[in-house]
Amino acid sequence: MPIQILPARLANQIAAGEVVERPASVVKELVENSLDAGATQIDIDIEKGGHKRICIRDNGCGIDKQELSLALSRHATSKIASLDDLEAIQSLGFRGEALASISAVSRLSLTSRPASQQQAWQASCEGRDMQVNIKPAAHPKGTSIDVLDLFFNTPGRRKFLRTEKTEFGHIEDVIRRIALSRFDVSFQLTHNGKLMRKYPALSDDVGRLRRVQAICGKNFADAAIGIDCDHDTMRLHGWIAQPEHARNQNDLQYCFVNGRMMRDKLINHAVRQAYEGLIAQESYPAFVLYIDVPAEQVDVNVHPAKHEVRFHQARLVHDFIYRVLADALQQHMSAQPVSDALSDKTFYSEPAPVNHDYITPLRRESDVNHSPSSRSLQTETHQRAAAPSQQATQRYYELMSVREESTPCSRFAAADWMRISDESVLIRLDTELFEVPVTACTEQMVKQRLTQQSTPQPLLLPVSIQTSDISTDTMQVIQQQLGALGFDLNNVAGHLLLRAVPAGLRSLPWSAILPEVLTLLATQKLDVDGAIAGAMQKTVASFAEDAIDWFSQLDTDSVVDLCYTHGQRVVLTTNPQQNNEGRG
Amino acid sequence: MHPPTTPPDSEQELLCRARQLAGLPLGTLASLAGIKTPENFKREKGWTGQLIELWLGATAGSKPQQDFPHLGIELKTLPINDAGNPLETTYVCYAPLTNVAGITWENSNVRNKLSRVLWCPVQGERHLPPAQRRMATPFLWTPTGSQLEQLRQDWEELMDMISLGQVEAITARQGVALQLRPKAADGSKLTDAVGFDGTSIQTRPRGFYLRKTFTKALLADAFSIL
Repeated sequence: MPIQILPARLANQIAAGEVVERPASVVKELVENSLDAGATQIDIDIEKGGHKRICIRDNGCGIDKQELSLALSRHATSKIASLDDLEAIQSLGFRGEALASISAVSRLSLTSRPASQQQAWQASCEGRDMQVNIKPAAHPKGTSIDVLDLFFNTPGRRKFLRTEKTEFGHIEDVIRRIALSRFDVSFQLTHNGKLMRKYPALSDDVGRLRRVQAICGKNFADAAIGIDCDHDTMRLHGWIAQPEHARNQNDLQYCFVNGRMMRDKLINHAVRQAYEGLIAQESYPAFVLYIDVPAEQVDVNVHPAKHEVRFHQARLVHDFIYRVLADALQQHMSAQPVSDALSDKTFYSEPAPVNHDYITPLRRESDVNHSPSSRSLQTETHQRAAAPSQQATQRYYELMSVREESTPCSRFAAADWMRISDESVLIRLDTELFEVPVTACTEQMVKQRLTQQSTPQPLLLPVSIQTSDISTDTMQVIQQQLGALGFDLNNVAGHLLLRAVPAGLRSLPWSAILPEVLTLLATQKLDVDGAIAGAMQKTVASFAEDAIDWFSQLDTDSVVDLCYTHGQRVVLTTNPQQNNEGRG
Repeated sequence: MHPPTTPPDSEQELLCRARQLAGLPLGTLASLAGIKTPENFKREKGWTGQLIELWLGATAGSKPQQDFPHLGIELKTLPINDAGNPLETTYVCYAPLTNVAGITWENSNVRNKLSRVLWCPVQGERHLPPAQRRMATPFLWTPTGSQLEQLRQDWEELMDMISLGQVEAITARQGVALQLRPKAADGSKLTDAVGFDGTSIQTRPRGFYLRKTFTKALLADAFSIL
């Protein structure tokens, strides 16, 4: 099948799938339109549960003749004009879909007369492109919308319609909810020509409670606890049932956010939580609650039928509702002497003390015959020092290379270095070649770093070693020698600990080389840099492999110094191919 | 060397005391304090932390307030491996599952506990018996602006779920720096929480934990910038 633009009617029928679920949804959309039009009197006539006819008549502002045809098109609305309006919606509707959707799945006619017009006009549409016809009609100020034969052209949907009685029950429910949201509007609902519900407009509190009583029953209205609480920009008001009036179904839960009827999980959750402990587990609290929050704090554009909203600060709203209701219930309970204990316990109990009994308290040594063996400890550390992990060594090179600022010298790039044996490397300085011992290079590197980054820096894990074969006097000298350079080597509680080293040498594998460094310092009276270089060469097995990377970080002066002091000039006698290898 | 008998008077004194322990095996610290070192930590969870508390002069116990309330400093031991990376996530505090209304990030336990921390890394590889595990170098830490922001975002996301009754739906995968996990010696301990429909439910107690990636970054910061 080729890709094609859908005919207008079909597109609207698809949209209707989301918005128009059953006759009650038609009633909801149309009554909300009337409310948005500022009506104060809305009559709803239903025939055969809405299967046959739904007629809504209001005395709102009406629709101009010029706009009548637009009113039936999709994405046409007078309620918002820009994205800013969408983000702070004041009206109940805003999608501009309801009329187009309903007229796509029924025979709809719209008759309207705004106050400015002398005569009324009627619009209806037909055909696959939903052509709108307009003809003159007689109508008082306001608008009537007549919806006949809902789902006549969508047999699939029609199958889902229930009996007239059930569908009318849903319509009644919608009207009840809407009536609770607007006490200042009078509603009249007839079914098959018979008046079923009449809610006159009211202004005072007594009247409001009367409407609440008419809708929620006498039991609820007589015993309801009034709520009214402001917090910052939020307001919560309405009525909640006493805990003893909890119901077995969730049929008496009316909730309105900014005047919009809502079945919101977050709100129900907060309410149920406030009642927790006061009502039985399987029962439901009854309530009529109004939540007013600034329009820009809620997103109503979540669900096409707008049953759900999203609060920008969900937890704040949740906690506000919970606290207000919990406080109100607590006050109510404490006013009843019998239930005092219960309420106190439920609302003001501290969190249960945290149980830490699985943490065993420290035990004194005297209760046991076990003490840590210092001998085994020393053996262990010695082993650790003698066998450095490959990983540790590698890590040290990684750290070195990452942290090193590259020397601003292009003449001596890594390519100018080559390992020629375990003991020596080949360095090219311009056109000259030098063979230099690895130890000399290491020494130069250590010297450079000792002078460039000499601030002591703590090692994450201090190195601990056995001190047996070096005399105390010699050790003191060594400690002073190292201390002067920024090392922190000290005897603590029988352990010789290296805790800090000059920053530039921080990443050397200290646990591996320290014993050897100390031995070299004690026996051969070397410089510290010499001893470190010697120890590196001797102890770190994999050291020579990566040495080149490390040395190539030497600055120019050091390299020149290295070549001329420790190096041996190499004269090439073989073919140039070998020279190329040296460069590569 | 003996454990101090009084709490430290200043942050400097605390840090000084802590640095004195750096490099020493736990066995040595324990015997100097006259404490028995366990063979393993199967039954003595929290032993390391308690031993270090003793050596720093903290008033023992894991109460909601900090370990050194007068200094506003929390003590955290951090087991590390041979390469210097954290071995475990770090427990911060119990997560409140009831009475959560009105708790904000600014007045939360997590924020309070983490406002200033004395980190005490300790060798924690399993192959090392407790006596041979050594203290690493301790350091003081205050969260940076971006770390705080990260923690706040995680905390708010988790607390939203707790207060909206989705505590059972929270997994350890949530949160970039901070995660929520069951906290109890075994799975049989239960506590009250808010259920998905607002009723009260029983669930395992939860705790806030810092992820290893977060503490690893702290270690890296502390030992290359110092």
